[in-house]
Amino acid sequence: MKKTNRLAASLLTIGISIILVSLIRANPNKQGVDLQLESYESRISNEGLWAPQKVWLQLTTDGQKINLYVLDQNGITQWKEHQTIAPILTFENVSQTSYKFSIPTRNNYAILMENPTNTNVRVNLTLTFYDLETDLATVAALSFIIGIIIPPTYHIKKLLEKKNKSTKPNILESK
Amino acid sequence: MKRFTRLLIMETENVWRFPTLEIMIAIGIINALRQPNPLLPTIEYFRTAQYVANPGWGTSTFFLIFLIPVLVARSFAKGLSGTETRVMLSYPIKRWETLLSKLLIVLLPTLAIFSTVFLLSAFYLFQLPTLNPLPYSLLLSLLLPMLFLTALSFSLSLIAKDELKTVLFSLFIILSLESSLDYVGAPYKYIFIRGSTVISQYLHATFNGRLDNFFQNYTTADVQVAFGFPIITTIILLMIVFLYFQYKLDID
Repeated sequence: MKKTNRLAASLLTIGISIILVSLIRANPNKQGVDLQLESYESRISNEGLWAPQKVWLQLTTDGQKINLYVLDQNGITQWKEHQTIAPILTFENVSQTSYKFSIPTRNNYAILMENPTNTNVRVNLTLTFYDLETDLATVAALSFIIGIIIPPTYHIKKLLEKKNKSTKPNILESK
Repeated sequence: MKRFTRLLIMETENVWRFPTLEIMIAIGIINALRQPNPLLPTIEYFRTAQYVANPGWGTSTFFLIFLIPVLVARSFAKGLSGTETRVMLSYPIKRWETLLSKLLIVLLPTLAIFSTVFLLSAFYLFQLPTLNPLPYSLLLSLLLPMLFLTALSFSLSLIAKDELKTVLFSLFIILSLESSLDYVGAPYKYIFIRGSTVISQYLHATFNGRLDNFFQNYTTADVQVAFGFPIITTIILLMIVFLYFQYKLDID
């Protein structure tokens, strides 16, 4: 097997394997919290490394309205160090909501819940992570495309070289 | 040195022919990245999660257990049963060079593929800092069972001197050893794949300063057996293989 074909086969294998893994990882994964927020309390939950994929956020409370923010790494640091809110998504004065959004890049994210009232509130939050992780899918697609392009490119290059050689006039014969 | 390098290249071309390398790459990627949980709650979770703690021995264990004896059989036993080793030794090549090249050609590429995929997943998917010693040290839990598996397959190749018999003997011994260990108590049940779990959990605990938690579940004897058995057995088996191949084996 020629080296270029071998390289192409290895890249195709990498692409196919990552696609398979992405499909396995795309299984919907639910993360939920059920908690009570005291009056004027703010609390961070679901902090962690999120993959770039889709999220379905479902929130229900016992009737009271709360504020809910999705924070990225910068927002988490801002909140922990200065108690300032710098969210990437905001839901204010909600008692029940269902929203789908995409995570832009693989990073640390968290949910910040804030109770702006002077009464306690019961909160139930469910996050469903689903669909392909886009960065893995990109790597798979790139390996796949390069793996498909390499052999024909190499053969076309060889053919052109051969053609150029054969069209050159043979000086010895012409003499 | 030049002669040995040539020998390594020849062995590589012989053993890692299409599609062996590609199968190994696929197993490595699926094994290291497969975990079904796309959300990793915290980096702390990475450090305590079992599936990451075991870089090489997950659901693809069966394939790896199958592939290493196959590679050893293709490289070593096939040469003994046919004319390859005889022809090779008619050239000015020393016996130990032949043996070492075959050992390296099975071990190094396999370890390189699995380590690369595991480290890439640790640094990219889990965002661990590259200077964190934990993922590097976790490779020990892959290396030790792999060494044991390779040494065992080499020993069986010398006994069987046949490709198919070596694969069958190795699979029979490894799979029956693993299933019989279900009925053995600690610390002896940690001599093979279960041992790699103990090693990785011990390393997690050591790097996170949680040895107290670790020793609530395991004893010092468990750790000693998990580390000691693969190392000592590999050394003994490889010594026997070397001495037999170097001084005793008749190759007509």
